[in-house]
Amino acid sequence: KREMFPDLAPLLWHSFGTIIVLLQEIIVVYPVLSPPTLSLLASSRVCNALALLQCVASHPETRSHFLKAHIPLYLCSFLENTSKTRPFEYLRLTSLGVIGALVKAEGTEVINFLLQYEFVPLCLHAMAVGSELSKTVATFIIEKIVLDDAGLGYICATADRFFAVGTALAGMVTSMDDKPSPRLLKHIIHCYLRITDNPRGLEALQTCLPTTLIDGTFNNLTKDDPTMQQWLQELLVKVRSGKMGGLPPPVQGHMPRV
Amino acid sequence: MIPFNSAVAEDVRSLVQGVDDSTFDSTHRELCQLADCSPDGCSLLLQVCLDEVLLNADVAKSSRLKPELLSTVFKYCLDKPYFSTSFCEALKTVHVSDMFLVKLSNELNLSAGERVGVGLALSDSGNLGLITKGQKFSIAEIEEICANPAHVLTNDQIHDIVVFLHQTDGLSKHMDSFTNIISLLNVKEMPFYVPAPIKEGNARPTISSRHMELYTGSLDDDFDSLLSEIGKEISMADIITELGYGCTSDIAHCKEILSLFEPLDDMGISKLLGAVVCTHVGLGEAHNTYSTFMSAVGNSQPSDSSQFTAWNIDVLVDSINEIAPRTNWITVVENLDHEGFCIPDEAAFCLLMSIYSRACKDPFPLHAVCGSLWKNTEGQLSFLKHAVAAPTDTFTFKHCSRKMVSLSYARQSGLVLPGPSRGFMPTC
Repeated sequence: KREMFPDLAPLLWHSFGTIIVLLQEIIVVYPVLSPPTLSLLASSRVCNALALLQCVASHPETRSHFLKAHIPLYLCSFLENTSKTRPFEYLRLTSLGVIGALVKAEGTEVINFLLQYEFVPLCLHAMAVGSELSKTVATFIIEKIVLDDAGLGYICATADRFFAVGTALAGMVTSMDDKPSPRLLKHIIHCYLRITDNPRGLEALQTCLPTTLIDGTFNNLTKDDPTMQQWLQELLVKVRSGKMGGLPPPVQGHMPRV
Repeated sequence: MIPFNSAVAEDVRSLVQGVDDSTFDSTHRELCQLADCSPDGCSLLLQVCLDEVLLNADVAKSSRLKPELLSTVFKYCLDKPYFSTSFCEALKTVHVSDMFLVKLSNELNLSAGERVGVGLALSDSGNLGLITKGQKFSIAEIEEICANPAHVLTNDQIHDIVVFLHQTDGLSKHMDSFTNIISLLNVKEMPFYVPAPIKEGNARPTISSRHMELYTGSLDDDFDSLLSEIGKEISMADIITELGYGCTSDIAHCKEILSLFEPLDDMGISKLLGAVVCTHVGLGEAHNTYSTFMSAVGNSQPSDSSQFTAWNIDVLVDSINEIAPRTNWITVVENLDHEGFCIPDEAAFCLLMSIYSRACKDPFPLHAVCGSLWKNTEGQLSFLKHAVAAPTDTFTFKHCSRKMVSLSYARQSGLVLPGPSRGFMPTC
């Protein structure tokens, strides 16, 4: 019933001992993460604590406090996990929900925090092992990061970073052959499209954009969504425009003639 | 202002004819400068190109590099926003035969996109004959590619042509013509996109996708629905089972707890049933936390303080029907195909059947469990395994719409059927 209490976040943050209790609820399950012996009941309990922390992450009054206290770092263990069973998937999903609530607010403070503390690899991991919903939330987070100029520069700064992001995005496109997800595809396309705004990113995409985005495989998914259709159009125009080079650059000045 | 007259044309012509390795670059630069001057300069240059390509192609004294120079310069002009105008102007002094464009394109080694572009460029001509010839040429180019078995006009080729037209300032206005031509042909692969025609003349939009506010808006709307789904994905069924059997102690308490998750939809109810069925035993340890959670989520304590050891399905179903009277129990059964659903034993199966018979008087929807292959195939198999073994007062296939054998036929064939009262073997 979080929606019924608009001021729940400040109440949670400022009331004595509440946040530390929630953190204890999180820490108490660390021992059962590896080897993976987490029960559904325990997972559900932690997810409830994470849901309350998500309120704090969402609220404008408490978001900065949340970041300064480095609360998101307590979620790294959940995001790093590779188990695909339901208890761990719930943890992954709810943890991504907390990060997603942070990036949903516009602001460079959040993006800089996520870049500084290496949350991009954790999202890429969720894109690789998570459920469709986890993949979608993780891709949304990456999408928000690349929409930020610093985030876009960060990802395109080195070949290995770009390769990691490109591999994760392409992997999801490939696996979508069996289980298409229009909303996930939409976020993927938007990530690619934004990457083309960076010259290095555009150049790299010209060689590694998945074939199935070009050959009409996803016609059925895009035809019902004009926004996704337009994003895909622009993406392909941009990527293929770079291949039409070779024309001599325009020469300045006039031909001298006596 | 440079005087454009026959003297200049002669100078250009001699430059072209005399080009060699040492003068190629400088000649190329000078000719490009001429094209940059103005549409008139471009027109003059194109005219010289046409003369050299078509009229003087066989002159023995021609330089080895002349074709390359002409091709490069022509393509440079092709990229000018005023190419159409200049090209049509240059053609005024030339007799354009039916084979003119074909010969021109072959001599200049134009690509498929460039050929179509040249044909479309004639749309600007005031001469109706030229317009027709240009369109026929473009269509012929496309048809030739289609007719060649080894060269099907794939999406790649369409993309190349579209991108070429799109990024060439002088030709992007012909996108509509190209789209119409494509729609007339039987392209083997249907192109999945054609960029929208550019509205503002020859301007090329370079808006960063980051600044498209409309998309950002829809982005956040998407995420709000994601967050809502995350909450719904985890909440109701898991919390009910975590609270334990005390949730169904009586209707008042059950409704109080279920109301926390309103509105109840068929998918949520289906997942709740799956969770309840899987936990008909084993939740005894939850009793210790029941009173704690009840004080958190509700105001009243249960009047009966004895320990609860089983779900009260009558209370559960009646509470659901009161909170969500429009529940479609057929859909609820259809949604049993969800991750995690499983019938662990016969008692769980009987519990599920009791819930359904309490909730709905219609026959159990066999199509939901027998009509198609579930995504959760293990769950489906676990259901069917107990269904075929259940006595007929618990579950029956009698109302199945498709039957394989009658009892008498089965008896004649020597088939041994489980239970004397089972009369049909379903195949639906």
